[in-house]
Amino acid sequence: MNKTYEILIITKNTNGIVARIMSLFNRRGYFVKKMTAGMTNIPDHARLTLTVEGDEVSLDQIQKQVYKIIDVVKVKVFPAEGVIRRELMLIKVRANSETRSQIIQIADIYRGNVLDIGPDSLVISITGNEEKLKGFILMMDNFEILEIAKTGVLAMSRGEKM
Amino acid sequence: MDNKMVNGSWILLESLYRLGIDTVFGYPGGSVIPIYDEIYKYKKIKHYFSRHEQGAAHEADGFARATGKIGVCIATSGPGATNLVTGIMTAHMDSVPLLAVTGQVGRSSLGKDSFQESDIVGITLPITKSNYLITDIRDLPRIIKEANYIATTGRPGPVLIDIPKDIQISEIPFNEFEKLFSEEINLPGYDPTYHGHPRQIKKAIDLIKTAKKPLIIAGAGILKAGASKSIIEFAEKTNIPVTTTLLGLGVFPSNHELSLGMLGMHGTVAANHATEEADLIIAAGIRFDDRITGNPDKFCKNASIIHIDIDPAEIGKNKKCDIPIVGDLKNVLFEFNRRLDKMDHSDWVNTVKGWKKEYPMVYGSSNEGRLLPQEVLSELNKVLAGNAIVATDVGQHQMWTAQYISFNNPNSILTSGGSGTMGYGLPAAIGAQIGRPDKKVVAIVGDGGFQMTFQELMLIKQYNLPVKVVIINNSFLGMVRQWQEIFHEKRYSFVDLSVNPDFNKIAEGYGINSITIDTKEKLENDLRPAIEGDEAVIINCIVEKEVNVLPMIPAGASVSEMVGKRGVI
Repeated sequence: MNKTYEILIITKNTNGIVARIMSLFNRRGYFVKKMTAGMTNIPDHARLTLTVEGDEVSLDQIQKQVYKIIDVVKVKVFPAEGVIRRELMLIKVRANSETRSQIIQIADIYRGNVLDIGPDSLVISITGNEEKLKGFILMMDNFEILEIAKTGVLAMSRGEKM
Repeated sequence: MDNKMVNGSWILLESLYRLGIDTVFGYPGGSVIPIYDEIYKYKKIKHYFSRHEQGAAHEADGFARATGKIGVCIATSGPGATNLVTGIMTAHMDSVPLLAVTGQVGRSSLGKDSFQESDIVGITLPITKSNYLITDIRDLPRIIKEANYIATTGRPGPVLIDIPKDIQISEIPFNEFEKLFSEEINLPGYDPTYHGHPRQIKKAIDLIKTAKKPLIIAGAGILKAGASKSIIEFAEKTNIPVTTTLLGLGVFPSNHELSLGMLGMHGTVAANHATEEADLIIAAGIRFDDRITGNPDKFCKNASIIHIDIDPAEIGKNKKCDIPIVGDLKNVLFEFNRRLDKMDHSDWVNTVKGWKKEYPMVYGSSNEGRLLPQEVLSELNKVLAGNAIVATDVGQHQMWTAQYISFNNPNSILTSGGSGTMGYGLPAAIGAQIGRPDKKVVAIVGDGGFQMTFQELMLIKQYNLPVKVVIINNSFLGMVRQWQEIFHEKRYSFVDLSVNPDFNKIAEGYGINSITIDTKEKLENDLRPAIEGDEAVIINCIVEKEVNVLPMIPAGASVSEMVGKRGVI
């Protein structure tokens, strides 16, 4: 059964490390849906969160394969529970004097921030899990979505442990 | 000395030398001229001049497999580097410790499609254990140490270091080099597991104690761990028969009474039957390659499986196992041997021996007195008596070598098992002979593969190497022809090599003696003196053209679908 998983990778931030990791996923036939990458609190190390689709056997295999990359120091699959997952979305919607206030009201309910107001458009940022973002997009479909940019999922375990 | 400036090229050579490397194979070119300038002056490392970079990579590989040390090859940027690729992939698939050093265009020219620029780090990403583009001369000593460490430890493999030309000539003070070289390797993400988990070992031992029909499948992981003696001790103590993979030949002596020879697609009937009947498989240093398992779901279907390997990613990759043990074979087998008492499986061993007797390796008879390839290999086996280092190419002759040549010592077969690289045999034999001047080294090649790298013959002449080259010449790309015969109704599409060069003339061109063996009489009279002689020789064996390698389990099939158990389909 194929499910979606978030994989955490901590790696030394060496030249081409992201290419190294992505090429491994590609050639072993794993589909990466989303990826976030950035520096972390450990000096010279990067933290990547990959959202991948696969079954449990292939998931076990890809963890081991990723760990074989010399610079990778930690690989972990986040469990379904006990994990905070967040994604940031910027969405640009067509808005005029009639629809603007409606859109801002909906954005408020979703705890979105209006980042830009133009004569014919609004840019709103929304943070949340995938369901929440989906919900907001659905609402905005009633207007006219001009652009969407998403970061991919960031995830962190609750409690002290990584 | 302290104030003396040293350049990147010298640092490369000095670092290699300090790591115990005294032999390199290579081919010069524009982007490695500074390195070659240092090689010219640096006397502690012997450089062998290959005639093609692919040859250099295979020679380093053959050197590594025959000696157990790391093999080193050097090539220039662009085409020089890409010519190494086949050799690097060959080493990668068979876990051979190889260090490839490539020159790169200067840093200011990088990324501009400069003359002979290629992204060799990008190209070799999937076929190296790790690889590096040097961007600062101060990283060079540490990276050479790291590369050597990564290539030779855990599951060995190839590592590539790409050095821009300006770094080869830039300089740092000698004492700074000393300081940089003395820095400890810091690889927090690389920590191979050498000791098997005690609980897993205990579980395995309990299972071994209760098994009635256990079977050991021994692979190249045993070679890498230097655990050949341990597996012999284990098999003898527990009275368990042993079959080996192609690359595992030699880890367990072919002439041992518990040996079943090779298993898999062209393995022995006894070995393959044993996998069907066994109730326990002890898979030691193997990766359940598809040429071994056929249909993995049906492979060893009646058996529990203990899988021991140093690479955790091999566990459960191709075949699910019951008890995984991640660790070095030598340590794990030591624990097995320490904790197990002498056992007796004579009923099972006798059953297996019965299969050996009933289904020996047999072949049909030839037409009009022509030589059969198996006859050549059988005769060669008598001459070699299990003591030579044998390198092969890929194809029918490779399988016949595995079937008919005895391998009684570890590191005695050099063959491209995983990647199946034609053209591997001759350069690998050359590398092996350079690494093991004390040994008889024989390259067994086909008439197809030989033509892919025979320019390397020049090294045999230049360095006076007594390599024996046996060409199993059937004027066909035999293995493809066999598949076309069996699976494509004899539509022989581009496998006919009846237009071949005159191999004796090629030998003559390279200044090497040659003989032709095309009759049984010549085989009996001429093979032994040629092999036993001290000179290099090319032995062109003209054999029957359309002979099949049997027995055979078709790709993806199971043991029950094996054909040719009696040597004919």
